[in-house]
Formats: sequence, structure tokens, C-alpha cells
Amino acid sequence: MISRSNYEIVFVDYYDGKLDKIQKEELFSFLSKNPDLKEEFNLYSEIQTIPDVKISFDGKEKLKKNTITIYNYKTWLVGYIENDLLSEQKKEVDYFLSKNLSLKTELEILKLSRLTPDKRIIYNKKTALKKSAKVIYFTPALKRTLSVAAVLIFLTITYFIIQQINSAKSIVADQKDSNEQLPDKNNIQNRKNKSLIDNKNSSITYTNNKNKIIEVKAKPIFVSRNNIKTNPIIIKKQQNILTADTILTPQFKLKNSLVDNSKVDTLKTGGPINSITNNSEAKLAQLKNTLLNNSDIFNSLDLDELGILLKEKSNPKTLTELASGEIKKLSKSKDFSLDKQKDPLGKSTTYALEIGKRFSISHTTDQ
Amino acid sequence: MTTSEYNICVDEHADGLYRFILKNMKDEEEARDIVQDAFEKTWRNVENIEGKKAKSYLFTTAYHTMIDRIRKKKHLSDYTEVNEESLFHTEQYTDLKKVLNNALNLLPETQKAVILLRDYEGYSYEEIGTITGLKESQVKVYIYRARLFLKEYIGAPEKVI
Repeated sequence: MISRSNYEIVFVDYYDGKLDKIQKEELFSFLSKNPDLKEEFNLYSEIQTIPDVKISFDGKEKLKKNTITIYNYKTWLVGYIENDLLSEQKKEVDYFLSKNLSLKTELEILKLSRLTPDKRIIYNKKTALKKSAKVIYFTPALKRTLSVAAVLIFLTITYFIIQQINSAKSIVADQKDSNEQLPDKNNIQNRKNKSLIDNKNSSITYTNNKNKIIEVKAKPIFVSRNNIKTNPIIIKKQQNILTADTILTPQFKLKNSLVDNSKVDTLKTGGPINSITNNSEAKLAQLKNTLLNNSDIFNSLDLDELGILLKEKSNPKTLTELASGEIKKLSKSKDFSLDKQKDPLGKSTTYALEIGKRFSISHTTDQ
Repeated sequence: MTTSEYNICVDEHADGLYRFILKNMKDEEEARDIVQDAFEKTWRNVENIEGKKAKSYLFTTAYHTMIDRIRKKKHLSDYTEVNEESLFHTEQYTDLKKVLNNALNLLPETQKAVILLRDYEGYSYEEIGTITGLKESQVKVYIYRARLFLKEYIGAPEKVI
């Protein structure tokens, strides 16, 4: 509804061509009823603007994207010969060139700019660059040889690994075994000095109250898992060290027997002690007595150190009783031999006792 | 890569590599030296290089050796700017190759290298990027610039008889 309060907007809309037929009729009806506004209505017609179609923006091409223009065609032509354009873009270039024929020559020049290698230029020292290598052909015979070698190596390595494991076990067993024969530490009287365990030789040395160095060796020799042997345990006294080559053997001749020859004859052959036991208990008893009564090898302290102890301390036994008891134990061994040997100069005498192959005692006295 | 593959590599790529280096260095002895050096390096790593990648390895090694030597000799000119004066020439050329060769020698070293790899060996932008250590986009820009430079140098087609 046009009124005197909103007629200006309707006047502008009229000159802008925004009014339809009904609105225009309404406008003219309003003007006929308000003739004083006709002059103002005519003034609005003078301020109407008409666009100048001759004016145009000449930078439109530069603003365009992803299309070939007179400003970017060179790049597009390079892309064209470098085969970087999509098929649609190539068609666009073709269309552009058809519209700009003068630019076709530029495309031709660009095509000429492709470089081609001069095949006449060659590197003539290729032979010097080449390498020769030794080629090993794995013939069936070689394969077989290598297979056998591999198996042997594997077995050898396996054998040594197992041997190492068993050797370690045997050392443990020997140490345990030798410890059983060593004197009980608690029973060594007035023990003064150090006790040294030499791992390499599995030996133990210690000094007793008489400053005598007692050395016990138990060097393990591996034979098999269930048959462990050790060198004889050698007990040395400081003054008279028995060398390895004088260790008692069954072939060792008894020159000056500690016992009656008739009684020792049975022993010197290294025969089994149980045979003695079986033959005659009286014979064995006589042997024990003879050993102990005539022995200048052991005193009670030595026996003490060797672990041949009286178990009943409150009731000390005589040396004879002690020896008898130990002989009983030793008699369980299969091999028992006793010998005595003088050195070539007659300055010392060595007494040796061997029970089995794992235990021996020797003693050398000065003249 | 086996020894056999390496030797095949020598037969197949030594010439191309030599041409590429020679065009850049313009010194036969130095080009031979660089080729030999590249193959020696390849041989030292022969166990780690796949046969398919041997060519790329060779060109990469040779390119970097070449650039190092050029820099040491201070032959390396501005990478990006083209000598505009070289574009002005009036003589006619009877041999397009000669024209292009002259134009090539006027290119900055990097542009020269990348366009030679592109035209001589047909490498892609990516492969050239791998060889030269440039980004793919950089390679593309250098090739476009070099191409337009060559076009401008050739000039009107009628100059080339």
C-alpha cells in the first residue's frame, strides 16, 4: 500500500523496473490523488544510471586458472611437448592454437629443442671397468663333499660340547670325592694358616700345626660319564715331596717291606684286597697290625689330617685300633698295594700306599 | 647385483653416462675419470645394489661427483639465471645440433644436467629428482626454463636451414 511515508521506495523501484503492472497502476493512482508529488516523481527519473557497455576489464585472462591463455601459453606448450598434459588439456591447447595460428610455430620450435645424444661419443675403456670374479660351481661331487664336511664339523662340535659338560660334572664329582677324603676342617688342631684351593689342579694345600705343608691333589681325568677317574691323591710333606713318577704302581718292587714279606707278598702284586679278606681274616688282621706297628709313615696327627679320625673323641683309640678301622674301610677297595723304595743315592726312602686307582698316599723320609 | 650383471651394466650404461658427464663438463679426461669413479663406487657396493637400480645409482654417483668438481673449479654459475645476452644472435645455423649444443653450453649447470637427463636418458622428473637430489617440482621448473631458453635461442625456425 503506497502512502506518503513510503512512496520514495516505490518511485525508485519504478525507475529500476522492479514494479509489476498492478504495482504500477497503484503508483499512478497514488500520484493522481497526490498531485503535489508528481514533480518529485519526475526528479527520480533524472538520477537513473545507465551502464557503459563499452568499458571492459582487460585483466580477465590473467585471472583465469587451469586454462591456456595468451599469457601462459608458453608454459602450456612446454607441458605439451613434455607430455605433462592430460588429454583434455591437450585438446585445449590444440583449440587455443587453432584460434592463434601465429603461435603454432612456437610449438614447432619447442619440438626442435629436444636434445638427442651423439652416439658417436662412446666410452672406449669399458674393458678396464669390467670385473672378473671367481665363480664356484656347485657340482654334485662338491655338494657331497661339503655335506660330509658339514656333518663332521657338526659332530665334532657336538662331541666337544658334550665333553665339556661332562668334564664340568666330573670336576664337581671329584671335588666332592676328594672332600670326603680330606680331613675335616673342624678336626684339624690348631690350624694356623691358610687353606688354598687351586681350581686348576683341583688341589688343596694347607699347613698344619707342625708347619707341614699337606697338599692333596685330585686332578680329574675324564673317561666316561659313568666311569670317572682321577689321578691318585698325592699327599706330600714339606720335607719330602713325592714326585709323580714315584707314585706307587703295582709293578713297584717292595725292597724293604714294612711288614713281613710273607704277608706282603700277597699285596705287592696289587691283587684285590677283598681276596685277602676272603682268604683269611687272620691274615688281614696280621697285616693291619704289621702296618701300624711298623709304620713310620703316619702319626696320629697325620691320620687326623687325612680324615682318618676317631669318631668317638671321648674315647680315643690307639693308633692300631684306628688303623684297623680304616683298613676295614679300605679293604672294600678292589685294589690295594703297598711299596717302599729308596732313591739311588740311598738318602731317602719313599713309602707308598695305593688303594684302588683313586687313592694313594706316599711319604719320603730323609736318611 | 652379480658380477655378470655389473659387467652388463658397464656395456649398457658406460657410454650414456660418459656422454652425460662430457656434455656437462666439456672435458673428456675428467668425464672419463668421473665415469670410472662412478663404476668403482658401484662395484664396491655391488652386493647392495639391485640390477634394476644400477643405472640410477651410476648417474646419481656420477652427477654428484661432477657437481663437486664443478664447484671446486668454480665453474658453477648461477643456477637459475640465464645469460640473457646469449639469446641475441643473428647468424644462421646449418646444423640444429650445433645450435642446440651452443645453447646447451649457455644453460646454468643444473638446468643443463636435468634437461640432458630428460632428453638423453628419458628419465622422469621423479627419477631426475632422485639423481640430482632436487624436488620433483624443482626439476620440472628447471626443465621448463631450459626448454624455453633453448626455444628462444633457436629463434625463428627459418634460421635453421
